Amino acid sequence: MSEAIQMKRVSRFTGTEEEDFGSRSAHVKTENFSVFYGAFEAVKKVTCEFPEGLVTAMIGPSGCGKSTLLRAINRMNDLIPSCRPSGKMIFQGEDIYCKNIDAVSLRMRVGMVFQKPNVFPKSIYDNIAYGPRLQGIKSRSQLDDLVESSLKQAAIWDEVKDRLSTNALGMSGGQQQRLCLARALAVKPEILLMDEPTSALDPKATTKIEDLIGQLRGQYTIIIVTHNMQQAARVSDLTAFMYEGTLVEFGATRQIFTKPRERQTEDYITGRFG
Amino acid sequence: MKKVLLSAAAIAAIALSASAEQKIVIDGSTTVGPIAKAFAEYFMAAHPDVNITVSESGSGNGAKSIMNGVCDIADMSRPMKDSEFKAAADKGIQPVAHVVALDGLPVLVHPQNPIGELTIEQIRDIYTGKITNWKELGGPNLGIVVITRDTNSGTYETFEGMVMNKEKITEKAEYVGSNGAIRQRVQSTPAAIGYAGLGFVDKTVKALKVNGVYPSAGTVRTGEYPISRPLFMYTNGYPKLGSPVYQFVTLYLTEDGQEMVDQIGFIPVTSY
Amino acid sequence: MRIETRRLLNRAFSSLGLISIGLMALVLVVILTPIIAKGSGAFVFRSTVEHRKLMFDHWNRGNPERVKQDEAKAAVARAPVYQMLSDFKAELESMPRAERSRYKKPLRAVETALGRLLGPNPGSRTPVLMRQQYGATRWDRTQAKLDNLLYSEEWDYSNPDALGVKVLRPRVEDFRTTKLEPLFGYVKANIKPMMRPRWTFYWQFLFDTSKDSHIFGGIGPEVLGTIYLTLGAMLFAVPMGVIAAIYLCEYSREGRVISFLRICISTLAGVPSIVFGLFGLAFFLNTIHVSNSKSVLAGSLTLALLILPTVIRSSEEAILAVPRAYKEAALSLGAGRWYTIMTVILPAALPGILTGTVISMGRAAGETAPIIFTAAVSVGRPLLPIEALSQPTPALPWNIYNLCTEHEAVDEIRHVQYGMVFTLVALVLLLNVFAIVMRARISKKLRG
Ligand SMILES: Nc1ncnc2c1ncn2[C@@H]1O[C@H](COP(=O)(O)OP(=O)(O)OP(=O)(O)O)[C@@H](O)[C@H]1O
Ligand SMILES: [Mg+2]
Repeated sequence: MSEAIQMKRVSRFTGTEEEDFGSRSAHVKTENFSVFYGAFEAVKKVTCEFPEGLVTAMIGPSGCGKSTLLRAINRMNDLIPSCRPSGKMIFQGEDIYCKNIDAVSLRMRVGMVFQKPNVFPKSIYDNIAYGPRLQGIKSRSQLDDLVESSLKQAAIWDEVKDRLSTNALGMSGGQQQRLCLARALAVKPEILLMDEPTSALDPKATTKIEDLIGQLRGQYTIIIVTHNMQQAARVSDLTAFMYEGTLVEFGATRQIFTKPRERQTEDYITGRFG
Repeated sequence: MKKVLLSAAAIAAIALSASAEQKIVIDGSTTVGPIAKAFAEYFMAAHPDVNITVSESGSGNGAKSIMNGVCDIADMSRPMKDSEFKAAADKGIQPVAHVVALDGLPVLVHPQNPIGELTIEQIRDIYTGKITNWKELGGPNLGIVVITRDTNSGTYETFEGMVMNKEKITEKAEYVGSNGAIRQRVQSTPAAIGYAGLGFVDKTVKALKVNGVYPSAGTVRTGEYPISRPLFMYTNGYPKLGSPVYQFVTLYLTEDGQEMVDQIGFIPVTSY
Repeated sequence: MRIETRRLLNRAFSSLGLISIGLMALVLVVILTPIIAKGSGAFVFRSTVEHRKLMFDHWNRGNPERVKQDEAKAAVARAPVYQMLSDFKAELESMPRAERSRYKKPLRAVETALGRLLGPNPGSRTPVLMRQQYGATRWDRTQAKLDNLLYSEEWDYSNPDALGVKVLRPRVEDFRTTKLEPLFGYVKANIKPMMRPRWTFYWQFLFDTSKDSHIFGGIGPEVLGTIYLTLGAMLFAVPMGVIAAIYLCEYSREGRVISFLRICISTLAGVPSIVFGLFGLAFFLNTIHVSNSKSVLAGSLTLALLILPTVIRSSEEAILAVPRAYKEAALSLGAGRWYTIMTVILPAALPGILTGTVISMGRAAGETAPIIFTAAVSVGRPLLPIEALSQPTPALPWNIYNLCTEHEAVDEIRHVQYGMVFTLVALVLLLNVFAIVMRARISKKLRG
């Protein structure tokens, strides 16, 4: 099947009825961006733009390179020795893979929530304060405020406000995931990357996270990877469909889910497919 | 930060000055060890500001230690060899010998062994491997277990020089690292034969008459007992008169020193 | 059928496990029982009046009044012995010369044996060697010395084709019809009032210095020396080992140099400890002269080298066992590598690092070979920390070896030797318990 798929160049998203997302400026964009694991090309010459303040969903079958592309945006792939990017990944006008870009300061601006909740084995307070402390905030009252506002933003304040000094590992999975979100928000990033943030959660916790995404929309540019079609339809403005490393189709969510331009997209979202 | 450093330096300085005590490091022969240890405790009791440490690693190591300047006194149960003198001189060390005691080298067997007397030639034949059974010497039908000291020890070299007459010790011989170990091997093995310093003989082993003479303070002193040797302490140069090292290496000349040497089982040099 | 085979296999395996655990327990019991039983004999034993005299003379322990009374009572019980001895000597004077010489040797043997049992005759000059200043200080030794007084050991070689047979001949037979004859019966009957045995807990054994090369006193310098050497080794090995482990896990790129380095470390862990000892002597003492004689410093450095591979290995494993997720989380929040290591990875790896460290600490405490040539001596004072830089020290493992192979009077002081073994084993055990507790506490804190 793979030979049937051709490299597509999807430029601006045109032809959407209600909103012209294209008028928004791109926060991050890729140009012919590929990622290799050794000789294996996991992401193949993807060119696309993630507009500022919107929620973009990435869908596609397992192993198609969604996580790889997502992690390329805040250079988390640097941790993998065999991993090598090529092409351009432009964030606010600069290629983040340029030599003079510091990955550490980039990550302060591009936050990430992972598939599995990965709270530190520290107190809830210390988890949230980790990022701010890193940025040099030492004053206790300032930290207190930040912790409170982040936890409130992540809609978990009421549940944990009485046990901020207990170990975060003692919380439920859903709580931990929202804590991770709060922790990422405490750094005050511009972009928020989420890799299947609800895959380990029950429907109720999932709803909470989805509601949160709705609230954060506009303030942050959010890119979310999900296997849940309904979720993609519910929370995102734009949807990118990837297949075997290639970006097959990228457009307004409504359009992708109602009139996909490509056969593969249609097959995938209707579940007719592998 | 500066303050911390300063106070640390001050503490270190105080500690250093408080420990301005003198040390004498003694290394070498396991045979001389008991004398050195007794002298050390006697000396430290009288001079609380001197710390004397004694280790027993063998005469050869004692010689090496003093050559390398890592000990003040080297105990040796044999005289230094020319090669050792040379090596020491090359490093600017001048070993000076102090003979602190005399020692016989009793040949030991298990008390169960009926043999009570051997000649030097018989002992040599046992150690070269010519005689392998006690039966050949009139004893019970038992294979002889030959025990000898490690080649690093002065005891070995004395034995080799005075008994072996340039013949090689049998390959079947068992090498052990100290006088105490020889005694232990012999007291636990009825068929064994070994040799150790006079001070290490107790009733768990039997010393043999050699050429008809029983090893004792008397016979060693008169030279009747054929295997005997002086025991040395070597210093680097003659120690400065009155210095702790001087006082230590001349302890054997005092009455108390002689009594200690005698009571440990060796022969004080002043009573020949 | 299949189910049955599976069950059989299961049962076979669990019984195999049980057997091996049982065997291990048995071995442990077999090893530890004598250590504990005999080792505790150094601390808890029946002491005689001689022991209390010694304690009073040299450490000023005990109530002076009570010690004097104790001694006086023992002296009263002993007086007849000395009376008999002097009566016999007077009798000897009046004997014809030929008869007199017959008693000369047996009398000397009796006097020596009596001296070993009771100490020097009252009124005689004090001997220089401490071992001759006191009689038997322990009741178990008293028994042995009493036997030695009552019987002379002789060997019957009447059958030249067989090994000799030990014959215990009562010494009293040498002195029939003389004034010394009743002495043997008297001593045997009155040994208790003469020695006044009493149960004693000599806990100071751990702290006292030895007197007359361990014949009396305790093992203080050895214990202190072992602690210095172990702590010194940790001081060098732990920071170096942990930093090396961090570098290997977090900084180095997997490559030929690094794999070579790893092989080197593994090989180092398998090198016999005596090689480290010789290296320490050749390098630290003879080449770079860290001190001008053996010293705790040189010994610590050598031990540090010995345990470094273990520390690196266990730290590496602990660091690698930290979930990747923690690291990713920290990095995604904008933490640098160093900050991630210090705030997330090291705290999470701490229990593992601690375990490895304490296990190697036990090893450092118990190693003999590396310190023979670099730090350990048979006799020496307890050192101040600052003196440890330049002076050698007695240490438990070496002195255990030294006592059992080189000491001139080892049979007299078996209890000291076992006391040392017991102390060393207890020390290592204590360290391990400490590690387990620490580990549990930290893990609990991490787990929440
Ligand atoms: N560390 C790695 N080393 C080598 N290959 C990798 C590595 N991580 C991922 N890959 C490969 O890259 C491809 C894309 O992986 P990626 O994790 O991006 O998929 P994904 O779309 O996120 O899948 P899923 O939906 O299952 O999470 C896969 O074929 C995978 O096997
Ligand atoms: Mg994925």
